[in-house]
Amino acid sequence: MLARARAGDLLAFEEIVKRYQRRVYGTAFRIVRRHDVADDVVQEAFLRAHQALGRFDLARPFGPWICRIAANLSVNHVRSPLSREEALPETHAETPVPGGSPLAGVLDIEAGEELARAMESLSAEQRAVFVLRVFEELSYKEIAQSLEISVGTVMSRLSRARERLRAALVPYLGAAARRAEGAGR
Amino acid sequence: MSHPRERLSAFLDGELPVSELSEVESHVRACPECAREIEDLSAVDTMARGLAVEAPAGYFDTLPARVRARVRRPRRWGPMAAWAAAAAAVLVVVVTPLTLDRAASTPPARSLPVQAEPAPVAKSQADAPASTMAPVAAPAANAAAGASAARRQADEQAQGGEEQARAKQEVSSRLVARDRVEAPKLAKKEAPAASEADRGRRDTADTLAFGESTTATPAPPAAAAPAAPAFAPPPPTAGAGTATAAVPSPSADKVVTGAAAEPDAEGGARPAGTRTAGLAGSRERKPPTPGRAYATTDPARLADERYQSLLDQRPATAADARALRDGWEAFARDQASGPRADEARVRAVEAGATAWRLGGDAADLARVRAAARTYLAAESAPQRERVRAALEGLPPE
Repeated sequence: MLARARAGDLLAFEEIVKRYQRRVYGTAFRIVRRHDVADDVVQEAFLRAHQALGRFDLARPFGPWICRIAANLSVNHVRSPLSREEALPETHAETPVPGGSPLAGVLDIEAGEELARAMESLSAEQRAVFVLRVFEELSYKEIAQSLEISVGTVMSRLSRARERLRAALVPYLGAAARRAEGAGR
Repeated sequence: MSHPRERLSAFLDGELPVSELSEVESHVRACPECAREIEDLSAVDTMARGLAVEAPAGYFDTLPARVRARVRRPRRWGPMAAWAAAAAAVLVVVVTPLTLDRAASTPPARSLPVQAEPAPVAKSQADAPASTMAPVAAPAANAAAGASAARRQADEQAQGGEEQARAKQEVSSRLVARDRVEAPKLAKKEAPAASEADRGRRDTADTLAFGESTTATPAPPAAAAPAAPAFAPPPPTAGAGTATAAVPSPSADKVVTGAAAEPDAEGGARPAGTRTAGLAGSRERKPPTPGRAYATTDPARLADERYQSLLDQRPATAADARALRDGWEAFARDQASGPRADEARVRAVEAGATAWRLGGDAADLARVRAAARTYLAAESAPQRERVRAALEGLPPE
């Protein structure tokens, strides 16, 4: 499919978009937190991927590559002066997936909302690192290359992001209960 | 050692430098608090993965085609820019002297030549890149070469032709429709230089409605082939005509420059200069006639003309049908609250089904199904039966 798309087959490329659109959208939305911006980012990411297909190594997986492009575009957007004038949406468009993970049963709506709020409290840069690590499972080096930052910065941003999310979710984490029993911190 | 909290995250990921690994590992083994912390961090990851992202209903049904439509543009707007330049050159050469001679009182006659033959250079280059993944700069170069050739050609061939002008008018209505709907947004945020042009372009569109010409958006493939879609703006009155005639040549150059400077921001750089707008509202309003471009700025009248031009189309190829489908979809979006939106939606489905029948393309099939599903799922769908009938004969899902 990728080879056909690279040879100029637009239908093949459209198939690729179909296959990866949800994943790319997920990456973009989790960083920019707005549908209209995520839509822009997704389209632009695919367009750039199309332009760069000629340089893409077909032996490599396409998904992480396009998500890296999307993450980079997302952060650039959030950094841009235009985006600072735009308010974040009031509602969260992330919802717990029923049966989607082992914790889904435990992850009630309240916890999901708390987590979504906590995600919004992170900086876009922190969200980008978190998303590329947790959802795309990229190495720190790959994340660093994608976002044009150092590995050390990846490490510190990810650490802060996780710590912040953890703090917001303390009431829902098993360890919190154990702490409450008297271990203390 | 103190709790290495800031390193636990990297430890969890197996990303600690070797030099720190053993130290942190032995600490975690001996420290229940840090061990729990790692457990918590891991749980945070799991919980985050359990959150699904939802897009608005139907979003993923249309995204692939929208992306594909945007991919196609850069390869094709080179020849389009050449056509714009040809039309612009005719205006410069012919319209300006005429309008100056006639002064402000008399609107230009129907026989005023507002079309040009394609320049050979532009046409041959237009065909060349269609089957390859040409970089954005290539069409831009074509546009540059084509534009100058077209200007020369236009100097020699400024003659009228009712039928060709009519074909142009029909194609142009599709172009305007698609351009309005698909104006890319991201480029304005990514490329400031391009964004200015893009913003200006859309501002112009808002102001002038359809009383302008745009050649920025490519015509659908086969539909454009027989009669290349140059759209000559309606002959303006003297005051407006002078202003209009002054625009085109430099703006055609601007396209080339913009594309070369911002190859990645194709959405913003692409359409900047190919528009020959500037049709003042003072122009005389007349009903559409063959051989004339839109001669009104009245939005209702323009919508009528656009609707009629879509109604008149009889697609003979899959590409024609696709173009018609896109045209109807664009009309339905632009006129979403109008009385003909429903009809446009239904006709979009019908044209989509025709596209599949003529081409057998799986993407067309998927798209017509998605469009039909969307229509049938709506609360107000007065023509359900017609949509179901359009789906008859398609392979079962």
